[in-house]
Amino acid sequence: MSNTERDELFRLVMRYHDGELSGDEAERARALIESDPEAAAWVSDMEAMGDATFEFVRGAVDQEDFSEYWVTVDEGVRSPTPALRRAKAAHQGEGLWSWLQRQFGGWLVPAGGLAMAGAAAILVLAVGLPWASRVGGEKVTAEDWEGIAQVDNTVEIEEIEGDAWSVSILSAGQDQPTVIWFDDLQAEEDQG
Amino acid sequence: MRNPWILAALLLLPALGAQAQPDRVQLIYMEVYAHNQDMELDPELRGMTDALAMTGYTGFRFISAGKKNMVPGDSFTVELESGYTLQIRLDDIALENVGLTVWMTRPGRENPVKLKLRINRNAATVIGGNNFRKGKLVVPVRVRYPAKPGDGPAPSKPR
Repeated sequence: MSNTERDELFRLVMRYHDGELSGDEAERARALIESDPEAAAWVSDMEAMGDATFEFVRGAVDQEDFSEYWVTVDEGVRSPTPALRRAKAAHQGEGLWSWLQRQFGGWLVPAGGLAMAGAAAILVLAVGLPWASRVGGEKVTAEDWEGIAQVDNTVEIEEIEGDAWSVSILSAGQDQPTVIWFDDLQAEEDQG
Repeated sequence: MRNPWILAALLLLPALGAQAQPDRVQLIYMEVYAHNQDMELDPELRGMTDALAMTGYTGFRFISAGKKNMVPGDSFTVELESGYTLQIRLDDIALENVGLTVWMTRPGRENPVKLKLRINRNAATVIGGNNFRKGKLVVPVRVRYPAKPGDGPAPSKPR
């Protein structure tokens, strides 16, 4: 079975796990999980991830006062990102898109769709699948990340510099990677 | 010195130490969009569930990945989807850990945050924080040592 076919099956199992399937699709996913040990392992992974997330958040909240942090995250979610601002500006009739709309009217959307499909095809041919590397040209595989839980993931911080930045270090034990959060306070202030 | 074996052992010790300490390591990174919209998990992230769960988010979408063999002084730069720039420099390689310097720069600004840290042999850390869409961008980074001096990175355990 090709990697593409395995990925499709993985997505099917994931959607089944999330309760998004019904009828024949759900039956197919259920049969796959019962007959294929790898598919069963995917379900275990997803359940473990859900449990780990819950346990981690609960443990972190028990130990630390994260009230300010979560307010910051919440504000970040509600604040418009630069991409959203650009989309809003385009929607309001600013820039090249509105000029093209005026010039070419109803032909613009299908022509634009074909152009984007062509560009996407060229991009895939040029750089390979999205799994390709941006650095060094070597592809990263799932094997590159195996065995993390078997090593000591403790991180030692030697120096922090940066005005208008907040750095938070979260660790839940040496068998899990330490999470280093960089919060750009200046950007949040600009957005606020 | 009376015992020639002790003398030989003392002479060999520096050579043994040099053999065990590689002159290069491999840095692997992945750029991931973390959110709480659903329990999304891209196929490329299957081996990363525990590490990503540490971020506290429930959904994870793969964006890009890369790896590079590095010697001290080498660095690589990743232009993140959020527009920020992440630069990582390998400062030194010790027997059981490496020294890294990490910079995160906001577009249009010159004062990045700079972090110097030590990360253990074959360990991973997760760097994150940029707001992106309805969540955050997170970047797991791993340092892999060669299995033996002169070899490639350590082989993964069999599936």
